[in-house]
Amino acid sequence: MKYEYDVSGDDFSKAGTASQDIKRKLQQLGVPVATVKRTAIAMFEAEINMVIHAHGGKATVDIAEDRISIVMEDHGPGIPDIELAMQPGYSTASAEARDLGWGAGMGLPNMKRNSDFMNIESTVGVGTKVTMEIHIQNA
Amino acid sequence: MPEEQFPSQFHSVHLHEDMCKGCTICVTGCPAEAIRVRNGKAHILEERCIDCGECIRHCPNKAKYSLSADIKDLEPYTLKAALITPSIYGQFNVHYSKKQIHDAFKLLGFTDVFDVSEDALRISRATSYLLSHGKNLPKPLISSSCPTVIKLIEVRFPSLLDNILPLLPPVELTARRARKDLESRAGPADKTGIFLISPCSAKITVARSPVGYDSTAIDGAFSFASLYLPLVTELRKMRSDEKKSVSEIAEELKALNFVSKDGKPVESRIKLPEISEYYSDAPDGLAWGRESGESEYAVHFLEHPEKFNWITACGIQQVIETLESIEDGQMSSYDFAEIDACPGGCINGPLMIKPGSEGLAVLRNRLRNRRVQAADLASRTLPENERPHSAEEAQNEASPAVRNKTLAATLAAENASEDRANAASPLLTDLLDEPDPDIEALSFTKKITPRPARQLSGDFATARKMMQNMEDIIEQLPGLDCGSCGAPNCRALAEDIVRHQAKLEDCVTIMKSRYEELLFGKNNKAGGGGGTVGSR
Repeated sequence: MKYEYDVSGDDFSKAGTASQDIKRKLQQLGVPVATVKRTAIAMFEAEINMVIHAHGGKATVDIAEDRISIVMEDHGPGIPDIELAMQPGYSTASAEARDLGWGAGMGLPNMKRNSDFMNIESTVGVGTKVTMEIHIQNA
Repeated sequence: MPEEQFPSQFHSVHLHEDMCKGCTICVTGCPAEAIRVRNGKAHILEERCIDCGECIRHCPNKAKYSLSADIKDLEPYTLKAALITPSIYGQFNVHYSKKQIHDAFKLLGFTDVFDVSEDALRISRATSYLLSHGKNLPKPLISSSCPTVIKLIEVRFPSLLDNILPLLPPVELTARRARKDLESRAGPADKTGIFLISPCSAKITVARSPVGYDSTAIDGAFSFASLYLPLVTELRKMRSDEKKSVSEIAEELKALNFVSKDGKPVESRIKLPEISEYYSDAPDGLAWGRESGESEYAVHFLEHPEKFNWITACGIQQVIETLESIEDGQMSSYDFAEIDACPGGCINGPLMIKPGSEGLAVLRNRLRNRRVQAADLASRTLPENERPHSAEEAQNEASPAVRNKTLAATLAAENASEDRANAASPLLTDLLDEPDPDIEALSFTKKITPRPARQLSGDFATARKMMQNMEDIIEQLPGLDCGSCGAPNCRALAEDIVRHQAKLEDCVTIMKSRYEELLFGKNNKAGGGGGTVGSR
């Protein structure tokens, strides 16, 4: 099952609505609690990143019996040095975002930690595409 | 209680069927989407209800009410205790003293009255002990005092079950204390009954079907609202506290263990390790009745309060937002989250009478008066060299380190005679760096398990089919979320349809369009009528 969401840019109040909707769907499907939580964290962080760095974008979530695939695509500024961006604590978030409590530099590390596969494709000036996969392990 | 209504394991909300107009205000206002209007009457979907009492608050026809014990239920008992939660003290004008309030309960037929505030402080001590000495604590630990919050977590945030502080609710400690006290005095012919006076339906339910432990010492629970009028009637017959003599105030403080029978200060049995601490900032548990109170007491007993990071949320909307955020991993910098379903805390419970604003003011004034009275009394009865120091000096003396040293000893003394049958708790021991039977005596004894009310089917393939079906149905529905079908919104109706609990024609817009098809033919609608179906 495939779901698409438009993630609104710069509207912090709407950040997290897509991941909340996915969370409900996963609960309805009876996906194990721990998997729901990992997906929620990974997707929420990705959504926030899109809002604070890239003026929004598109989220596509595909739920299969054994895995959840999330693709987050934006047309923002791109990430010049992905390896640096992956380092815990590194952040380029605006002062405004930091005032709201974001920009601790844990977004990408948290996404990686909570997914079983993660890939980032990014071109400066063109945009970023983050692909994450979370395996559904039935207890 | 009408005979056909049996108490539910999940909630205590009942319906006066004759008063329900089927208006759907409770349906759309239910934060758990747990109410449907069927055949013109509001019905609760048991497994989804979180017992928050919002429907009791919102029903314009007062058709919703909470199950409650009746004064008649006291009759079989010879010794009968009323347990008063801190928030209840905020419901009576501040010039009625604690003792007068207790007396009013006795005039209604109770033989004994127990103040839950005292046991609330024991939980605060244990909480701060756990926060200081726990290992691998989930962050944040979520307070276990609000049963509605626990139920909300069971249904909607099951990944946060491990974050729940595994400590008994204060009312249960009071009930066990009361049970022991009454039984120690009971003769062979006596029968003891323990009754909770509750600010909300959720605590009434837990007094019957506990969450986190197997058996409760509570025999029955009263809705505070049902006792308010008789209590106030009794109180009005008493004279005001303002005219009380010093000896009467002294008597009251004695009853609270602040001073001994001969007027000298004593080591407090439950409340306080040191009298100086009392004079310094007077923790007496009352503030548990309001938002932040629980956290403030935990801070009070901490060894390193400056390192403690806590957050409070109250009111069901804020509670849900906060739990979402915790689940999304955004609140792990906090050690403790005090979460109350009611706005402002228990003072605003759905079974309270006074507005929460006034309940808060009264609690504040009671705390202030207690400090003034105690200081005044102490200066009259204590010899010069034993008088309390200034608040600042006392504060220095009762440093957190000193307090904490006495904490374990105090808890040990308090629990010395407690029933130790539950000492082998599988829950709290997981969080302690070394076994501590005194803390464990206050522990939950049963794991709280998820309640997957949202799950469409136990089988993934079936659930997926149902969900796809649901999405097709949502496409056909008008998206007005009007509630006229009896479900809270179009998505919920679609879900009810795939669960075979409703049908497409329950939607009035669809029904209208079908009706027009019959009257005017499929493509020949009356001018301007209907036509919204499928236009989303």
